[in-house]
Amino acid sequence: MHLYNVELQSSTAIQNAIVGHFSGKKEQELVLGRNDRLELWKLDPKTGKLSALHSENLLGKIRAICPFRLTGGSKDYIILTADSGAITILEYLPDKNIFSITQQEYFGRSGFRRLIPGQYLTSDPRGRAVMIGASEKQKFVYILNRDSEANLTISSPLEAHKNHTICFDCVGVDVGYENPTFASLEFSYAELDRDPTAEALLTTEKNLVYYELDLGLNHVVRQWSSPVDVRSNKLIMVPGGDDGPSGVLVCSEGFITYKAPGQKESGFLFCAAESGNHQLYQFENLGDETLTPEYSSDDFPNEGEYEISKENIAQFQPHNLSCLSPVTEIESLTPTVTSMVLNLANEESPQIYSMCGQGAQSSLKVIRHGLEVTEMAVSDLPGNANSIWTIKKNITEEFDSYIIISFLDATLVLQIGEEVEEVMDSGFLNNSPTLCVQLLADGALLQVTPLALRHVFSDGRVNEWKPPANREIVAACSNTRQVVVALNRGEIILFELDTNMGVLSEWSDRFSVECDIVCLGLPSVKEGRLRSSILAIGCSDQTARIISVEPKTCFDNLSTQALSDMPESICLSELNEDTHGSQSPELNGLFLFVGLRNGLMQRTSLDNTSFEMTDTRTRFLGTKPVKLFPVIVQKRQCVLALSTRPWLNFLYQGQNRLVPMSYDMLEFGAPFASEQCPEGIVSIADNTLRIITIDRIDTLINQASIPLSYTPRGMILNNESKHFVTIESDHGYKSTTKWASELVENEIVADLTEANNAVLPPQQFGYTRGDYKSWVSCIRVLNPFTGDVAQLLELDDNEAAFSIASIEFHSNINVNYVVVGTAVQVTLKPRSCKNAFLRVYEWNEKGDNLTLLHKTAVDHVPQALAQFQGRLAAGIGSSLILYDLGKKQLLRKAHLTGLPNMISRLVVVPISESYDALMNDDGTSISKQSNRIVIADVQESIHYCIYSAYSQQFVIVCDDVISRYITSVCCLDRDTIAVSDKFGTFTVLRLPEDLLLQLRRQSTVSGHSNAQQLLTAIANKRSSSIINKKRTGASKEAPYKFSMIAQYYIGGGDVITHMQSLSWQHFDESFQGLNTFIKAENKPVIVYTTLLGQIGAMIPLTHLQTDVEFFTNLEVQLRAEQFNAKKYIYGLGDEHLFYRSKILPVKNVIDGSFCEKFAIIDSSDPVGFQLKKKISEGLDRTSEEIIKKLEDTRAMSIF
Amino acid sequence: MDKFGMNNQTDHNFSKYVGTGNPDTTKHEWMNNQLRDTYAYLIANDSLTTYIALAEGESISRVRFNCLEKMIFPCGPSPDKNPEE
Repeated sequence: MHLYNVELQSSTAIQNAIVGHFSGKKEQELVLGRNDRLELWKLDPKTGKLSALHSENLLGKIRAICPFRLTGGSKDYIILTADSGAITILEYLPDKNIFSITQQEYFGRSGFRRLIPGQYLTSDPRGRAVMIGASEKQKFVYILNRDSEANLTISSPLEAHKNHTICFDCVGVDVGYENPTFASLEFSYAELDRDPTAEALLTTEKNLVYYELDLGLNHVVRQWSSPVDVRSNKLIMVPGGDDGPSGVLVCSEGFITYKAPGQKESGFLFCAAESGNHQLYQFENLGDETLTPEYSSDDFPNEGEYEISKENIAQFQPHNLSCLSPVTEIESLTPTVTSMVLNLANEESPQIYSMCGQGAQSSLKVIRHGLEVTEMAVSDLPGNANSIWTIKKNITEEFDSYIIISFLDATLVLQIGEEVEEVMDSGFLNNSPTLCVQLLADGALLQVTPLALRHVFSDGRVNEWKPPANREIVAACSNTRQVVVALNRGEIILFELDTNMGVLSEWSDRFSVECDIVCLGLPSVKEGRLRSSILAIGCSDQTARIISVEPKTCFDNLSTQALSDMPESICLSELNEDTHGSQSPELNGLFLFVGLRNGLMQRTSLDNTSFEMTDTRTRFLGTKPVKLFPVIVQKRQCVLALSTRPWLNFLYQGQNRLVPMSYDMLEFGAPFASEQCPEGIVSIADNTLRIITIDRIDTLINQASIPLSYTPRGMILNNESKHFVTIESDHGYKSTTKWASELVENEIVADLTEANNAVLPPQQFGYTRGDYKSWVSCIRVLNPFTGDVAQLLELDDNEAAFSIASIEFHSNINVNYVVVGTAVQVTLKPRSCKNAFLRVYEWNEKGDNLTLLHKTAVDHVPQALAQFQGRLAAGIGSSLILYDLGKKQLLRKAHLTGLPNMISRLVVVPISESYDALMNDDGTSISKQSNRIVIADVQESIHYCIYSAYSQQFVIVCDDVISRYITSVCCLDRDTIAVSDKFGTFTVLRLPEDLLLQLRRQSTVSGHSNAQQLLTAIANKRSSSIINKKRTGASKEAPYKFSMIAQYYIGGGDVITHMQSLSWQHFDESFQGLNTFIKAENKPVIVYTTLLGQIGAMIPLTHLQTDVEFFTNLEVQLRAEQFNAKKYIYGLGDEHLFYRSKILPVKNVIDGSFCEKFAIIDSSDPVGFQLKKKISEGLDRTSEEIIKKLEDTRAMSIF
Repeated sequence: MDKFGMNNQTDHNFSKYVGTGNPDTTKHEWMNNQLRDTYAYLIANDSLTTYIALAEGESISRVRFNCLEKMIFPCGPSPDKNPEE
């Protein structure tokens, strides 16, 4: 089995954020470090909007970033440290829109090590040196300078090590232009390690240490040190030189100290949140005029003498934000605790329901594939419209003046102003449908109706051209200088604007074809040109043709394309990408788009001079004929394609992207610009006029959010009522109701209403802290369509919910119960609890309310629950127990004890071997009951277990040789299991061949006792493993060991929290019907979500020759060139093969994000061109073929 | 052959690579190094700090600080090397 890993949504967590002028211009930009990705975001100071300019996977875990500007320079460099043991200096090149590696210096081994620097990174504020530190002992200082050609140079490292010292923080001190100095917060454990009495723990002090880099002598000295509070944890630089007193602020628990050896402005604040969405705030004022009490540090005793008592506490009342106002939000899925891929809303592709966030910031996010659309306005129309345009009144206008809507027998002209209203004096004919409108280059307006071509001058005069008798105009298109009309029976007439005369003059020849012309397309006239040189026509004989309209070669056929169905619309468009205002023409290209009646869209690139068609891509968009409209989104020329759902085709980072929009079905569209909405789309859907905008095109998914109260722990779905049941619990907090009642009890406030007012809103301030045994928890019934909470069951007395399952007991068929595993006063270290319960809830008839049936006491925290054999299988501590439903409590039926540590997951193995059988069955319930269950241990990987109903025994037949810290399990078929572990490795395991043989034999024997005997024989076989591992628990080692089929490091240490195997049944049926060729050969795709908010997919590669060999070779070729191409595929210093094998060696999985780097290589750059050529020659294919293969693999299997 | 020089180099390596074991390493020293290495790994790996923060209901920075604090004194005082018998 070979898998191809693709990134659907890169990690949404932001670990590092820096601000600076990275493109060397005046604007401030943000550089965000997102696990293994580096992103550049631009801030628009007028609107406060953030937009992503560039994002790149750097094939390494980014640990720390800092901006760096050489003295006197105007451009900031990006310095970053990674887990590769190298320090990398990057420069952002705005014209190419890439990060280019300027310097890369190796200083140590790779990985997250105690002694290898990389944890701390700080620069001298004046841009002369950087310090890079480890959590223990080692620190390096690099001197940065520029050479004669103004290139950045880096010195060899200068050591500032100190043995037996833990470093807590590190910051550059602003000392003006004196020798660069760095401050670090250190604690030495040298004495502690030797002291048996541990008295040194009380006497050793935490120190603030200054390291001075002597630029003259070129070495680093420990210049000064001063003891600080033992709980100090952070340093903040104080501006020095001419701007301030220099020195640092030391943050400790409860107070801040200013340490040193003997500004007003308006701006923005970017807040990268640990959980929940990231925020951009604007400073409203600097808090000069607030009523907050002020405290002066002079009134307080010095540290050491400091004892926290009621008198010397600085008290203040927290209030809502008054100095900051939120401006923009970047959505984040971090941390994703668990998720489900379902198609509840019956859309064309399934949605991902993810439980994200922590504490009061928790939410259930509904994630869809598609661009996020903002609806600006909706208004009703009098009838069925059949087209729409927007037009400016004259050339000098900045915004559109009219919206023109054509109906079956009339045309409606709406004027855009303060309000949109109908006008009659626009000069357009109202009592006839319209085929085309245009503002011509001389300032006159053009309207084409089926019986006339009307040239409307600004003074109101109208020039009309009428087609010959009995002929009718069937299609028309225009640009600012040319008009083309097609008459019925295949005749084309060309008009060109004569600016001197101010008239449209007809071209002497007419062009005719043997069939009807369905649609026409003219590209816009380039600046400084008189005309466009080509015309595209779509004919009823299922062809699309490119025809010259240059005077010398007028109506010559330049190229023809055969189509699979009748064309519906055609569009010639020059897609472009606005990168930092500088237009690089290499990225632009002329494309021919053809929308067909059968719902396919073809995109073909055209040669700029010969107009030959190359590189055709076909995509199925929906079941309705595809209509195409050129629009402008995010300053890019894009093409809007409308079928049963709207799609947008645009260029992004040099690549063509075709992405659905998350919006209703649209029938017609046109670009729209007004003062309120400078970049919108006006469209028609179901007799309504809608104005929409697209704010972000950098991410292909969008999310809706439903708030939750506490950290989510699990969820289940009620299949009938489509309601979710979620369990949420938080450790170490008090609920708001409990806190309010405590305030009353302690007589701080008079009554409960006052107490409720005094409690701060948890969404902003979080919950009140409790002790280590306190828990808050709730069970919630949620309607995912409306976001309404149908029922909320708060658990009190520090009881918390840990696991949930929906069970249909074999004794009560067709009745669904919800079982929730809870525990009271759980302590995490060591793991213990006062009581633990299995609570059984019953649904009401509507399926939106739960009632408690009974609760059963158990010994340990129930961490995993599952339906198995029509009973409840519960993982309680290290035992697996099977329960039946009783009248007053659950009844124990069978058990398996002595698993190594703790059962973390239980997954029932699907019984059917073929996928078809699975698909007939909704994928949720399996008709025949499976007797196999996979038990995942929290540390010791998975155990394959068979249950014998005859003897009511569990038998472990297979386990793993590597102790994996399992975080999620997914059964791919009866014998194959995908698992992920806490250190970021994804693995596929399969039962060994000899065991499969034994099991097949066992399943065919007749009679229970014979089968039982054979099973016992399997279980008693002596372990074949050479390592005779001693188990911590009572169970002995299993006789067989899993064979490992595929393995892969997800990247950046990210943890997969949920995996789901997704077969085609999740997609809409109509969609499936047309894609039978895809369905037939597609094995299910594994979709996963990670803790840091990444969404990815593993696509099985089925064809050995075309797929597996191709991708393996491409990966090999790219790896060979990795370090020869500094700009494109270099990464942070780890070899790619090494990076993907960080914890365990990679096997049979191809890294899609690495392969896709091939498409980013810029062929206009000589280095890039050579690189592309070399790789494609090595593969014996053209680079277009390779890119097409990469895009298709993604599009066919997932998105 | 150059026994003296070789030893010198070994000593150098011992001081350079903290945590390298030798026949005289005690259980306590080994545990100290083991735990410090583990905590240093947890501090550096954002996913694991997020993971722990979720379980404990703490913020990521506090988890990191707690781990750094634990690195100082990971497993109690060292056993007395000359116990009075």
